[in-house]
Amino acid sequence: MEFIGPAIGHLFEPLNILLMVAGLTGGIIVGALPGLTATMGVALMVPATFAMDATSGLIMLGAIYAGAIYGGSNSACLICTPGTPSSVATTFDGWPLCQAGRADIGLITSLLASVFGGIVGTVFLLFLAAPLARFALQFGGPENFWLCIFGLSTIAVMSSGNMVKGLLSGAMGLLVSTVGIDPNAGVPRFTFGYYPLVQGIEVIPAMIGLFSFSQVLYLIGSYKPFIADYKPAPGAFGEVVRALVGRCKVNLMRSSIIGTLVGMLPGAGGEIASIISYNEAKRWDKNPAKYGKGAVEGLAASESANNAVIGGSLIPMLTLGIPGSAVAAVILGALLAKGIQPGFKVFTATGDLAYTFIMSQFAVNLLMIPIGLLLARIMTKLLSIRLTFVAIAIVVLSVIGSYAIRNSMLDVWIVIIFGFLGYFSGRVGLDTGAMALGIILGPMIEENLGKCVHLSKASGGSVINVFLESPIAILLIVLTLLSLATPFLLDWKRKRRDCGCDIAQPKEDSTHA
Amino acid sequence: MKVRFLARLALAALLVLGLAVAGDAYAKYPEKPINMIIAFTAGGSSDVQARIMQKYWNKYSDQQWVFVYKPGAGGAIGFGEIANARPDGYTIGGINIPHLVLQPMVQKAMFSIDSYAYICQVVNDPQAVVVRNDSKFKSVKEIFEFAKANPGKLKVGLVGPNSGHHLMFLDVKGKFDFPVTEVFYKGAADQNAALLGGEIDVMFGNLNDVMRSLEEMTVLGLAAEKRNAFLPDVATLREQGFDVVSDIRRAYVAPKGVDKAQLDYLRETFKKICDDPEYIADMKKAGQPTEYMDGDAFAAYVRTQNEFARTMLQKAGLLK
Amino acid sequence: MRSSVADIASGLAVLVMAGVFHAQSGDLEGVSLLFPRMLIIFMALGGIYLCGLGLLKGRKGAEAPQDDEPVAVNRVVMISAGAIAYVAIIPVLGFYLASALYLFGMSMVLSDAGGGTRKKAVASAAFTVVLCLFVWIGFAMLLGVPTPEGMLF
Repeated sequence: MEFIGPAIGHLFEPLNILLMVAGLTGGIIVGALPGLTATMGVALMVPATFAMDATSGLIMLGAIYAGAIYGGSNSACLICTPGTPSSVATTFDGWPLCQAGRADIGLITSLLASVFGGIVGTVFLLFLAAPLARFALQFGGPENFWLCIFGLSTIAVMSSGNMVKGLLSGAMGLLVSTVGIDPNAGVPRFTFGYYPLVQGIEVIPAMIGLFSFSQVLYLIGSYKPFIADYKPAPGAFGEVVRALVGRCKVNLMRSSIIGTLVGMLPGAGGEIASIISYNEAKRWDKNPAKYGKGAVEGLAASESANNAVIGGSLIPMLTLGIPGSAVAAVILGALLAKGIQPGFKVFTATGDLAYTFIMSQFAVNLLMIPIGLLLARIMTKLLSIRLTFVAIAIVVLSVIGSYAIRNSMLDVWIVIIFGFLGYFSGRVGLDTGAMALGIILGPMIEENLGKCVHLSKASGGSVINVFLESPIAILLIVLTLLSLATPFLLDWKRKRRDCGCDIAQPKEDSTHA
Repeated sequence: MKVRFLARLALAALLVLGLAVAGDAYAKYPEKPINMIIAFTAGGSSDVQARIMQKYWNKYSDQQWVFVYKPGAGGAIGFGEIANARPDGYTIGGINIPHLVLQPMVQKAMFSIDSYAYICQVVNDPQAVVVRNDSKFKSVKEIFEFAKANPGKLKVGLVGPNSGHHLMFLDVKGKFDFPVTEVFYKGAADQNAALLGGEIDVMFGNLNDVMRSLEEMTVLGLAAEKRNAFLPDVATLREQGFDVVSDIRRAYVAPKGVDKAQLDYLRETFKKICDDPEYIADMKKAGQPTEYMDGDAFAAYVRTQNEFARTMLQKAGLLK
Repeated sequence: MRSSVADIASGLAVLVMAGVFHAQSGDLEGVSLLFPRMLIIFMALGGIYLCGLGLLKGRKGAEAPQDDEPVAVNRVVMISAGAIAYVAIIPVLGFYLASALYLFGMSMVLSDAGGGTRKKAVASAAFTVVLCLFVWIGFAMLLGVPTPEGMLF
């Protein structure tokens, strides 16, 4: 703890302040552009850190990371396109708000929720890094498998309107994810005789297609001259603050904790955390019907969770050398290039650096409020540009973004193909959110299932034994079942309310569903 | 008539342009920046190594490297990209062995070991036998004894399948009685986490990856010819009575057919870098075990590895 | 779209996808096949269910048509065709030239603002130049993101 004082001192060095502001601004813009993700933003700036001292370099990378994850919500709200995969759940309520003319509410909620989530994640990183890192290690094959299944069960809740279509959309996503080299036997699958497909269908171009390009088709097909009306009301900031500290405070806290925990797990990142948090917010809300129609609660859950992931993903990275997310892996690379060894002694031997970095995350999150507000104001100008121009520009940005992921034209074609798929799905009531979730979770599910099968050989039993040996896996199984039952529970609750029969009945009655 | 004249003029212009381009190759190489293809993601081990290398490349050459990342399929996409690039000396790239020999065997990759002109090897990252600090195993010998006494009980983590780790595992299984349960991980990060979390008891991991979590892990043996400067106290497997040598090598290549003079320039410059004491110090700081080997020797090494991998996979029935 | 038609269309889409992947799973075996096969079977069953549901709804015929927003089909077709052509010519013309052509062409064709052709052309050209400059400065200069190279440029 003796490092904290000097660490705060370092933050006031002009260079570091400049780097934080520049990193945040750049990060928010990169995050907001469809196709440029947080991972890419950070990776692109790693070479620049080689010229700086280690502390300043880390501060800048951390600022870009935080900015980009928040920035993803801007495009999610304004054009229904998640700027980064972590913001998929933000589109569910952000876009309806924008269509209703209240983009300002959406953006401010995202910003404040992101800041809150980011700070909670950093608090955990500062005070509980060691025990939490130990906890994260408990997640092996069976636990990760059930975590993914639990995430997937969200489909049931998300699309409670039409569960069959939701489930089938999820299955389509999962099937798409099996293209490429099979994680368990190492042989290529479903390449359709086209060699480059052995690299699989990358999640990000598929999502750019499913969300951005299909959204372009939708917008162009609508007869509207502008994306949405924008009627900013004075006092929106106060309104949002009141909502967040009032009815959303439990939701915010829960989502931030979920984000931190999921962030710690290698493999599971912001995209899963935000969807799980959204799901939980909806499940525990007294009035779940308002979700998907512009509920501030939904936005708050998704955005606080994905920013809490940052602190979470840095915990195992700093303490064990195991990155909790793709971005943390890139930051780890930068650390190693500087010759800094991660480990628990990072907090003692190189404590100056570690604590300056952690404290900089607090500063970055606070700085995000003014910078984010300013940029949000500029980005809402988008809504006053004629829709045709915006739509055409999105196509060009999607192309460059998807190409930049791995410099491959294949990814650009994936955007186009998935764009048509997404547009068609939207027309016939299939769920693109569920499809995206399937594509994200598919490889993890299959890989972890493979691990469980291998492990079962050692415990001399079937895969079931492997699952039941782990208390965390059992807990996740129970949660999954609960999650699958939720639509029936909600239905039952609504019917009771509609009947007007308020006679209290034991809850157990609902379990027959 | 006029059209015809214009067409001729255009043709002549093209010819002149073509000659100018051809003439370039004979001017002092390199005249423009060189594309460096990295077959893994930005910020990964291969990238970190190449970035350190670049720092010293700039010391000896006037032209920069432009990094081009072509990750995917365990490196196969990027390796194919190098193989199919124009051999004009302005595209080179980093490759890894045994990835490069394994992929054409199991995946119908778009290259073979003969697609390249080898510049030199820069890293030899040996495989290590690693356990947790609180493990009951204190030596490699104890691991083998336990495995033999309790068939299937010992869980060994590998990155794979069809990887360098897998190859070492097959080699070990072929030479010794080692009835264990193998578990495959997507990458070193997952594998390290699984070892620390107790999902696996032992892992075969690369020294470079193990170095990241050294505080928590104990290296019991190195599958190398000789001890490594990073961990001078760790005995090789051979010293402990197990004749297994397995490693991952990083090297640089140009596409086959590159001009002899250009290749010589590249080989010379890379040698200068590898001899630079500052470079060696930087690599040590980054936990990358350096080992220089010249292009011709490395090409021969690739061929022996190719044969070795083929026999291993065939024996295990993994190759049809 | 009526919900019966939507059901049948989505059912067919699911079936087609399951069929295509099934046809592709020829020489796979063991663990590689297990997971995709489970999905294919699930999708086949679900697809049949949706088709059946749609047919049933259609036969009853009493359903109210959904109040869909009207869709400008010609505009959707135009931007789709434009996007395909755009991506197809990138490897030939290079990113910037192809983008400039696409931006200018699309905004000429799709622009719904009033005014004559000349006014439209000026607006489109301005838009093209601004966006290309933005991409070039933002992506190529500041971030160093590589753009696709063409055979010609």
